[in-house]
Parts: sequence; structure tokens; C-alpha cells
Amino acid sequence: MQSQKKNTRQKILEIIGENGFILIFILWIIFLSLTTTTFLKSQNVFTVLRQAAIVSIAAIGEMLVMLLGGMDVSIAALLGFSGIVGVSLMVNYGVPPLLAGLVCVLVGGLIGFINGILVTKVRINSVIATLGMMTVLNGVALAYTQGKTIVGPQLDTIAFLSRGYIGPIPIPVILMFIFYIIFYLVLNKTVFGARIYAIGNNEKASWLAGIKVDRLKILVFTVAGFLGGFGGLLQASRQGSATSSMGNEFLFPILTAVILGGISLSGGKGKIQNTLIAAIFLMTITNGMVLLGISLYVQGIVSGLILIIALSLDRLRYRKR
Amino acid sequence: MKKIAVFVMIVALLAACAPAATAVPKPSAPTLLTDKLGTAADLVPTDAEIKDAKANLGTGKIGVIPCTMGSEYHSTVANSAVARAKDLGITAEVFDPQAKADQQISAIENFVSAGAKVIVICVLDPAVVKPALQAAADAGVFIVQTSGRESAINGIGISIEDSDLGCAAGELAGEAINTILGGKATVAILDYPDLPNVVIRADNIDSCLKKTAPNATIVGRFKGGITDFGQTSMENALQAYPDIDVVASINDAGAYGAMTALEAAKKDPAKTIIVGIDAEANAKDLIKAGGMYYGTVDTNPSETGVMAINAAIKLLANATLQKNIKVDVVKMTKATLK
Repeated sequence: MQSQKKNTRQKILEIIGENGFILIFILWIIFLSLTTTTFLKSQNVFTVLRQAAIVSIAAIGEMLVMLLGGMDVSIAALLGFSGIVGVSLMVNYGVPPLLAGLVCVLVGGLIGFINGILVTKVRINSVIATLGMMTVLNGVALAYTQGKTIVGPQLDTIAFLSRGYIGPIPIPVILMFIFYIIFYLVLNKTVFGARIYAIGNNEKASWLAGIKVDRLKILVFTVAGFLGGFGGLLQASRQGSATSSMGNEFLFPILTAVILGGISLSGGKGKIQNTLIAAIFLMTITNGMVLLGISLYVQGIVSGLILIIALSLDRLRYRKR
Repeated sequence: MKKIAVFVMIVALLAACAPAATAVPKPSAPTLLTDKLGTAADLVPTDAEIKDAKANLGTGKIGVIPCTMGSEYHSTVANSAVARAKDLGITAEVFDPQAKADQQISAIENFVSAGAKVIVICVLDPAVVKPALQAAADAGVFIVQTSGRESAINGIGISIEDSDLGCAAGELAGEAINTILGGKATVAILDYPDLPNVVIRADNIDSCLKKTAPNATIVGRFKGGITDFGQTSMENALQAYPDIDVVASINDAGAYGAMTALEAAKKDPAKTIIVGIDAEANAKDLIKAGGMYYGTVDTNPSETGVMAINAAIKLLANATLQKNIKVDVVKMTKATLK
């Protein structure tokens, strides 16, 4: 009887440990549902999901890199830079939106590829290599824009990407779920996905098992670049303009979403669906504080506390081990 | 013989005294007056002052530290300062602190080490950079502040005060509320609490709007400053306060984002008012187009940059000038932009 009780308690602890931040997320949702009249309204739910779209799509790329045991801190700068390229092509050079959008994504992929080469062939630590890349991209963005906003009516043609709807559902939300379904399948049902986890768990053993580690790493950085580039296109569409600082504010939420989602910093562990939930959770924190009417000057404290509690619960599982 | 000796002595005495009697000794430091607020015209240097300034500058340079190069206003101030210096044949270099006060400290120290004799700075946080500015001043470097004109150390302050800017935007929004919305409105203020000087703008938007349109309701302050923050904040604010029909922003960049959110919420452009600050080219285009972007406050960034270098010349030439210089605030609407 006593051992049965112990088992139940252990199971509860296990569930809390495995899904700590999700538990806090659910409690936060319940709290907001009870204290505000608007939180659960479909319009607000879609607002939150739409706001989560760009962060969560870019976070897939970051998550892939982190599953390998690396980190890409240039992802936000890459997002902003790609967006500037796409917008500039449309506004300053009259390039058709489809082609400009394609170039925007390709530029992201190219930067990701260079990151991959720096990490695998030049053997620079991924954080340092991408930190350097981030600085370069921010510098080029500033030099090119001269601090000015690039804007023009040409951008109306891509507005549907972030502001359009299919039925009642915003297009960025649909895109977000499509990307997550695809990468869920890639990570869980393909050899490519299995190899990413394998390298993250034990790079040397993977190499000995015949996995072409460097090639796969370059590919992952390139994919992360493509996703960041696509995020840049969405952001350009969302704000209908491009500035040198575009993307700067994305690094913190992207990294937070991935880490909160339980992706191990040493690689090899983590579920993609948790990254999505974490990204949405982050957006509900900002949204909820506005709905609750919390002063702008204390919002940082509240959001920090919520994140600390969520991460603390989540880390129970590591302590348990 | 005696007569000759006396004559020679008289001539020698006259010769010794003559230069002292006619030449005016050059001052070794600038004279800073505090009796009134100076204007741009007061800072225009004479040819002699330019010559003296160049001589005193020697191989030194002017360091320009804007608040950030990532916004049109600040980059225009810095770029126009550099252009003015170039016109005068003087070296001016820019360091971008990326809106980080601690980066401004490093920039001040680096410019002093690099031989700068004047630092033109947009102070992000006076309390944080004061020790570094004081150290620079102690090393003989002149400071030209393009923000917070009252607190300039060893130099002068040229600025539109943030309080003046905020008040102008608040009045502009209030006037629009009275004329377009009949005096009643639901107002959101876009703030940027990370920077103390900018909060002063928001405070004054708040107070001056209330004075101009006392029946308007301000529902809260939301994070703006950059387009994405403005947009996200307004999307969220509209969920809590769907009646928001006026947005007064501490800058244009945040206001663009708010406009996108208001448009997405299908707000009637004829009954929705957005007011920003900075008079960016995009803002002026939007105002001319006649939509919901009602007005902006011109901060005159090009002129501010030129004035900063003119002031540097005057300081280097040890001239006499006012310590506090005013940049005029200009409210811009469709009517005034025509």
C-alpha cells in the first residue's frame, strides 16, 4: 500500500518534472481566463498565435542546431538581414515579390551555410562563430540602411503572409503549424532526424558509426538559415517595412522558447512540440500582462518571475536524475 | 650723447609697450553664458573662429556618439554632424553605442584615448555616463550634448528637451481629438521604459494631452520604440481596449507598428489618430497621404548635427557662446506639410 502511494507520488513528480513549464503555462491560461474577459476570445487567441508565428518558426532552426549540441546566436540578426534584403529588392529595385521573397529565404540559407562551414571546417565554436556572424550582419544592415526605414507600396503585395486569413485562421498561424508538422515528421520519422539526435548525444560515436557529421551539421545550419530567412520575410510582411534594427529583439524569445521547451544545451534531447508550446507561452505572458492592465514599468519583473518558476519546475527532472 | 641715450631708451620703451597696447590676448578657454537660451544663429562660427579652432584641434578629432545609429533621427544627427565637419576640413568619427548606456562609456573613453578634443554625444542615461564625461572633461575634452541640455559638462547642450517634444506630441494629439473626435477619445501612449529620457517624453505626452483634451481617456502606456514592439503592444492593447482610437507615440518607429495593428483591426482612418515624434520621411509621407497618421513632431535632426559641429568649433576657438541652445520644436500635420 505504502509503495503504491510512493509510486503514485513519484509518477506525479515525474509528470511535473517532464512537463513543468507546460503546467505553469496551463495555470497561467486558467488564471487569465478567470481574471480577464478577453483572453479566451478567438480573436485574442489568434492574436497570440500570430505573434508566436515568427519566433516559433525561427526557433525550429535554433532547436535543430541545439539538438546537435551547438547554438546559433546569429539567428535573429540573420532574420533581420534577410528581411532587409527582401524588402530592399522589392522597394529599391522593383524585383517581383515572389522572387524577392525567394532571395530573402536563400540569403538566410546562404548565411546559415557559411555558419556551418565556420563551425565544421574552420572549427570555430558555434557560439563564437555565430556571434561574429551576428555582428557582421548587424553592421552590414546598418551600413546599408543608414538607419533609415525602407518602406514602399510594393510591400503591400506580401502583407497577406502575416496579415491574411484562410477562413478564420491567420496565414502565419497556418504556416507555423505546417512547419511544425513537417519538422516533427523530419525529426521523428526520418533517418536525418535520428542522426541529428545521435550526433547531439555522442558526436564521436556517430562519426564512428559512419554518419557524415560535418556534412549533416552544415546542412542543419543551412536549414536553420532558411527558416530564419523565412522568418525575416514574415517580419518584413508583418511590419510592412525594414529597418536595421529589425530582428534584434528576436534573439531572446527564440533562445528562451528553445531552452524553455526543454532542448538540452548539450544536445541530443528535446521535443519539437515543446518548443512550439514554449513560444506560444512566451507570447501569452506579454499578451496577458496587457490584458491584466499591469503597468509597463513592472511587466519585466512579472514576465521574469513566470519564466523562472516555469524553468525551475522543468529542471526538477534533471535534479531527480 | 646723453640726449641720444635718452632718445634710444624712449624708442625702446615705446617699442616694448606698443604690441602690448594694441594686441588683444586670446582667451584660453571658451566663455559660456547662461543668461538666455541660445539659437542656431548664435552658433554659426566666423572665419577667424574656424581658423583658430582648426589650429587648436591640430591632429585631434571630434568624436560623435549618437544614442543609436539604428533610428532615422539619431543617424541623421550623426551623419549631418560628420558632413558638416568634413565641409570644414575637420575629422569627425562616429561610434554607434546601439542604445546602450554602457557602450557610451566605452566610446567616451576610447575617443579620449584617440585624441578627441570634442565629444558630441546624445546621452542615453545621464547618471550612467556622467563619470565618464567628467573624466573626459577633466582631460580637457569639450562636450557638446545633443540631449539633456541642462546637464552639459565642460561644454554646451543643444537639444529639444524630451519634455518639449512629449508635450508637443501630446498637444498635437489633443488638438486632433478636439477637432476630429469632438473632444472624446480612448488613448494609448507608446512608451519605451528602457530609456529614462524617453520616459520623460511619455510623461509629457500624458500631461499635455490631458490639458489639451481633458475629456479624453488614457487607457495605458504600452511598449513601443521600435516598429515590432509598437505593433505587438497595440495588437494586445486592442484586445483589452477595443475602443482605442488615438495613439500618441514617443517616436515614429513605434507608431508605424501601431498603425499596422489599427489597420488590421479595421479602424476607420477618418476617426483614428496617430501622432509620433521625429518627423521621419516615412511619417511625413503617411501624413501627406491623409490616413490615420495625423501628425509628428519635427526634431530637426539635420540642423542639430550641424549645430553640434558649429558649437564644437566655437568651443575649440575659445569663443563666447550660450551654454544652453534650443532647437525649435515644429508640429507637423497635413496642413503644415503642404
